[in-house]
Amino acid sequence: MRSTSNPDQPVIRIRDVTKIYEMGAGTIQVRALDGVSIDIHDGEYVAIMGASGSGKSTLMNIIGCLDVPSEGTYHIDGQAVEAMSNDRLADIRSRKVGFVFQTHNLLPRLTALANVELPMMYGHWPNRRDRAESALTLVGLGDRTHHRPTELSGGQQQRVGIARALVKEPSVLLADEPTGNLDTSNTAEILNIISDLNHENGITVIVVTHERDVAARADRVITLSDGQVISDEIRVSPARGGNVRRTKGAKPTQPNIAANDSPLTPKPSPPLQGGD
Amino acid sequence: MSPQDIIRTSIYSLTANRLRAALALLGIVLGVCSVITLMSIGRGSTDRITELIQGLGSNLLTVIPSSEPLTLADVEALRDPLYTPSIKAVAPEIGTFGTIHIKNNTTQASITGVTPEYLNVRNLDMATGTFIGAPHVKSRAEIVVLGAQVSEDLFGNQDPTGAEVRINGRQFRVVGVLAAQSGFGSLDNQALIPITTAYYRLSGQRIPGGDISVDQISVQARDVEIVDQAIEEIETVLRLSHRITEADDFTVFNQQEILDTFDEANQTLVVFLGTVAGISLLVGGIGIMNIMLVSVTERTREIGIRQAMGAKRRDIVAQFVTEAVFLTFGGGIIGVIAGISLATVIDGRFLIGTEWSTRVTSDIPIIALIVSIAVGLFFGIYPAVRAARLNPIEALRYE
Repeated sequence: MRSTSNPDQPVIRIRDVTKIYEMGAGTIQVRALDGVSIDIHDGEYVAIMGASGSGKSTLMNIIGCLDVPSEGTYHIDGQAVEAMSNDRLADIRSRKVGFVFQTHNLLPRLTALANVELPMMYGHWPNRRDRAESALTLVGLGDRTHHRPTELSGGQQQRVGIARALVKEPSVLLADEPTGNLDTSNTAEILNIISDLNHENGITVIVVTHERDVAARADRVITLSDGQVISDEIRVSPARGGNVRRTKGAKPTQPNIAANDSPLTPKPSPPLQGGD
Repeated sequence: MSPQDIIRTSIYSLTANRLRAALALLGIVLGVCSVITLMSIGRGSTDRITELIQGLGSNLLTVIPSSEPLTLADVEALRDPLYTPSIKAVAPEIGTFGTIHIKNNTTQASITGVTPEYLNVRNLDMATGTFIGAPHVKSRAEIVVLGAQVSEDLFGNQDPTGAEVRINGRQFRVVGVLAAQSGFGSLDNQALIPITTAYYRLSGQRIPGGDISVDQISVQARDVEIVDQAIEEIETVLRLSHRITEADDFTVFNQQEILDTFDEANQTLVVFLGTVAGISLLVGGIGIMNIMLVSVTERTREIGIRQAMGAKRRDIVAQFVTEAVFLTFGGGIIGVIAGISLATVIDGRFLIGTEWSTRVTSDIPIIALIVSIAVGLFFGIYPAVRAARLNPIEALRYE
């Protein structure tokens, strides 16, 4: 789908990222992230876990280019984000990041089709209508293109949200609690779609969640606590053992992450040492 | 974002709350409507004053005395075509106030002593009867020509010709009635009598030498083009007859000067009315700003979504400014239509004790539309910038 100049270059490259929020006119400093380093490669399916307050929302905001780190560096597709202006960040968001929100965040008075066209409008894409239609077809809503969000079920709304995220062929699909507002059957449906997009279409997926069964779908689970990475597990799913992209993504080329198939082994790399 | 996208997005947002959009629009509609109506009334009244004063004759000059009285001898001197070839007619007058009454009716009127030339010099028409003739002036006849209003006040719809009236106790015979005039400088509330009668019978003042003094002399030039020559001739004749070596003891007024004075006064009125209307447009603009600010707060989450989807600050600014301009431009168009309609409807009608006259010129709606767009831009920028400055993370979290 997209051409990355160097196939070994990670899509997401986070180095020693710290995010400090100043509150009470600078008198109180909150370290939401504290020296986080993560590499995510093309085609990976990663879950970021953590309790509330662990820093996972902050990390997601930084990965999604909604926010910039206070310290450290962040590259998406080889582009350094930390020094970017607001407009450049908006540009990166429009081209490289596909957001899926917990509360789908569709514009209520636009049809499904128009909602999916929205990010392409800001990115000046051609053939918006055709692309939006095929994206909706991909998530199984080819016959609901002219429905408004209120005329769709919760699961269908979230599928529109996914179509909107993937329509611009992002470098990464970033899903924040994508099933948080859904019942069991809709949850399964949405997770299946996300898995399919990763397996069949090779889309890099990052899911932020606090639910274990949602994280269980991912090939790799990163757990945060108090703003630090406390575990980074790469799982091998037997069913997809031969998956090339996954293998590539799991390649132990990252300096700070020791590839280990054992899910419970804590990572030994010094800066990430948190222990659990 | 392409212009089509911006327009489509703005329309989408405006149709979200139609009632509110309509109410915000209403402020601009009323503002623009009042600008158009008031400016049309201003233009109309300028036209009307110009028309009326020109109706008096733009070749009309007025001579009034200052330190020394003007007399009938002066009038005779001005009538000499040898000295005043540019002058067509000379009409002296003496003005006074009086009470006119018949058996059971009384009215107050200006009593003006005139000569036969007065009829033509002042562009008057007779409704019935005849005007004052030269023999009447010579014999100091006690006859009167009534203005239309005076005639109606005293006699109703009856023809008063031949009737007897008393002016300040003296008996006069009505010989005619002037046709009704309208508006400014009307002679409807006057009664005209021979100038000699006015001097000897009604006016108490006398000047040495037995000559008749007059209050003013109306002089009609032969043509509009030679008004300046006529002025020179009047000045020459009067300086000679008054043996003036230094400052003039009389003043010559040109009708054009009077016209200019009124025009200036009226321009001031138009500017004043325009300002009042402009203030109402400004209030409408503040209404738009208010609505846009509320809208920005209400749509914080929508703004967050758009930002997450890659909207740049300028995209958000463009969207909200376009919404504001749509409101004011839409209001402007409706206001222009309403204003022109209102101006057209009241034109020539008699309402609230005044006869209205309006003129809509093409520049008025164009100015009004440009101003309404400018109002939208001006009052739309601040809310739009506020929207664009929102932090996307907080905006997405907004409930």
